[in-house]
Amino acid sequence: MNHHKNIVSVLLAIAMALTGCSNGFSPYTGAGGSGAGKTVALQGSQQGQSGGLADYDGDGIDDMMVGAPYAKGNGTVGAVLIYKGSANGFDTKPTWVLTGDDNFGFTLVNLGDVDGDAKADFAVGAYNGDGGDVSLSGSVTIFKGGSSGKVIAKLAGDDALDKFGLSLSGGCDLNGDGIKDIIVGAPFNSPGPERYQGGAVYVYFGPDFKETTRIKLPASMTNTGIGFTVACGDLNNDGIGDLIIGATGKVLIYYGKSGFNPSTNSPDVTITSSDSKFGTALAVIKDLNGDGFDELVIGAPQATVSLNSVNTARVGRVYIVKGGSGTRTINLAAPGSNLLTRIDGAGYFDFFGSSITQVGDVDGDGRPDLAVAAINADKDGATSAANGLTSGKVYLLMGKDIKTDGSVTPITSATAFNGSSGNMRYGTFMAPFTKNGPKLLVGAPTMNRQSGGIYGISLEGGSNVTPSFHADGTDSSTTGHDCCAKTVSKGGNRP
Amino acid sequence: MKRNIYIACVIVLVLGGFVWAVAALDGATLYSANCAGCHGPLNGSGKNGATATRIQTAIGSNIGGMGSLSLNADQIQAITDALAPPTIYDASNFSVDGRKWQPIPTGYIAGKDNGPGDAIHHPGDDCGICHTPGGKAGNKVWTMSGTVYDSRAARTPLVGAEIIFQNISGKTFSMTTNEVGNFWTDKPFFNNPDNTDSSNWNYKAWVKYGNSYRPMVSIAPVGGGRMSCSMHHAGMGSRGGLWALSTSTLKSYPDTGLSYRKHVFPIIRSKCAPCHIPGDTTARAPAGEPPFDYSKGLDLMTFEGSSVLVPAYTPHGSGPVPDKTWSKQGILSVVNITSPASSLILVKTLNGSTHGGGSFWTDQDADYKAIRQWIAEGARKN
Repeated sequence: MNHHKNIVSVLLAIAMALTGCSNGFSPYTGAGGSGAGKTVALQGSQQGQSGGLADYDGDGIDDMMVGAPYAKGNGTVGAVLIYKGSANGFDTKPTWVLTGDDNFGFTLVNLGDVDGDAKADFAVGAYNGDGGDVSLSGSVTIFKGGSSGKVIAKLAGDDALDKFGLSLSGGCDLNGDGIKDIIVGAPFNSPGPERYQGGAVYVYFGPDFKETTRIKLPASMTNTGIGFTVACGDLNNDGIGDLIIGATGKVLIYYGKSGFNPSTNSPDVTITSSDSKFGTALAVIKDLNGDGFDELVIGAPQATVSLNSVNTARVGRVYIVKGGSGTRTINLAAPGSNLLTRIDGAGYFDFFGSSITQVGDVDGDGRPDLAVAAINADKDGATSAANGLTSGKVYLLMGKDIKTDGSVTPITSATAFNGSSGNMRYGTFMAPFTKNGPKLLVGAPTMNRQSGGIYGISLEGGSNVTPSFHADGTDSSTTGHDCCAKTVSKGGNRP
Repeated sequence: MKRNIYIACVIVLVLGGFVWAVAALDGATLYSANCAGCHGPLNGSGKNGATATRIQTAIGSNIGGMGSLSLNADQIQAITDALAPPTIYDASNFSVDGRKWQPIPTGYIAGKDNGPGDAIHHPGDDCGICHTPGGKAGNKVWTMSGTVYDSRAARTPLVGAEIIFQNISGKTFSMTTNEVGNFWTDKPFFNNPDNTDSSNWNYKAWVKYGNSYRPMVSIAPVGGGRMSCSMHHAGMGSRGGLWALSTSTLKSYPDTGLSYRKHVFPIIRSKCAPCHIPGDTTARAPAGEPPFDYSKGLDLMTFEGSSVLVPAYTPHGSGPVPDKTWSKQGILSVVNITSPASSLILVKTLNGSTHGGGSFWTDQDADYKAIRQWIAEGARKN
């Protein structure tokens, strides 16, 4: 019990005092601040579980947003920490903090402009949030970009413990009305007793995101395990976004169109694999093979890969499936020309493919580049947790090095970025941005005793940004995160 | 028929009164005189593990006609003692069904078997992936480990929870959760010299926090050769206690006007769903024992009950398994609108003596009162 009290004391000691106001938005006032209200303790908050960039305050510069879903406040659990952006970096400490429903900040996504004011809006998921007539269903709050916290809409799941908002995606117009929509996963939704916790995916249409016009794709008897992963992109090149969802052993693609309202069992494209946790991560990248269609990247982070005779489990792998039009059924055990390439992880228990993001065309060769995380990979040379075992790694794959003929792309062709310490889940989320060149935000939510943090990678330089920045509550910098001044060091770990 | 049994019980009570002077605190005799008529012989009674409070409540609420019994506190305690399971277990009560709820062991030091190190990483993950011979953490092989959260909602990890094992020889082991909710031990609690074969691990388990504790559905002899999640948990969070904190599911409830969707279902899904779910709820049993249905025929995730056909390929046993329809009763079957406190959902969970999931709450706890009020208002699907 003394141990318990000590922990509470530590939590209180590091709590950051924040002033509060009625909409859950609080300007940061620093430790011991004199505001009326809320405190958020970052110890154990797992900041870095989610993140992204958007212009929060409307000053024309994107700010860094970091989800801290277990940050404890005054009666709240979860927060989004917003580090104000400047020309060369971000504030050292959170400039603003958003709080909301329980576990607010587990997911966060930049939606693009959903309300027609030419400013990107964003959404935050709270998997234990509430709705007006339902409790603990999970919720998603859509914030108006550039407004310093104005809420456009709040969405909620169907039933308690559905974990609505455990996955989120946006930035696509799925019904072709010219306004971007939002996709929400609720993996524990039960469409019926025979599909208990089979999950569901919801699409809410902009600009008003009304409950009455949303569509639901519930689990079916043949498509279950829905809602853990959602994504979108224009894979058939018709100018309208397409819905992509992960299901047990499958990835399902539904082509967007006017009046979009597909049946779960009628996907336009079905991709199957026996790899463990296939579809856990999804990303759409630009056309890689020059056929005019964007490509779909699929992670299977617990795939068994034969590395040696002893340990083969949970190595992970990534597939790049070519985009195209028309109905297709693709079995990745015999994919034919549908598969551009496969990339296998490098080590036992690496979880390669646990998160994936496009990073644009970093080297300007006309081919898209790609970042893939292996959140349990070991830091180079690590022999124990104390010196970096299970730190996590991020692999940067340049388009010119990615095969497109169906053969395996060796992971050794990628540049690897190590997490700095053991058990930090480096790469849990990744978000590309441009600030004096292309950069990548990388979340490490379990570093520093689950306090978590954010790191930066200079994609252009192939190195960590200098000076490195992290938002783990222990950063002693007083000058701000000048992460992105154009003085990157070259190098990295590219072989 | 029931009326006749009640009368018989009363008759036994009256006739037995004469000998109370010499046998008033003989729990076995008191049980035979007052209880056996309805609950069967003491040896094998379905009321094994009943607490004195539970019995007193049943009498006070006239459950099953027990209001006619006239027993004082000492006599009730004597019956309770007679119904208490033996402290030292033997192989006979280590069947899968025999692992169901029993009172928690006492007389040990909490946390005495905590493992070395501080283990503040990977809460909620499968520890056995690395902490197993040949694994990344093969130099620290745990015999049991895991993470405890505040509730099935998993808002926060639960710090300072206790995990208790009692093995087939009656020896007790205790671990406490750290700042991220993790617990772990390398102690060979399973009372089997061959620690590489988990199919021979024999123990019972509880999760405790303060005065609240949960029995775990322990399906320990499941094989696999190492510690695994499936000893206590099934997919998507079913089976296993998964919660110990006695605080209410929601932060507050209205005094009246309770909603099933907004107020009641969150409680039931949070606290009953580990076991009472639709479909196949078979826990694989050791060789020689039949599969164990931990839902006990109840699907409390539905209002009216459910009937789910499970295809033959569902792997709930070895070898070919035929299609099977699992028909279960729902919420409607466990509520009593005319006598809300007598509703099965409340009676079974109030003190837990016959509930495999144990005792959930007192009649003063917010969750209990919310459900009782909702039943009193008609148990509507509102």
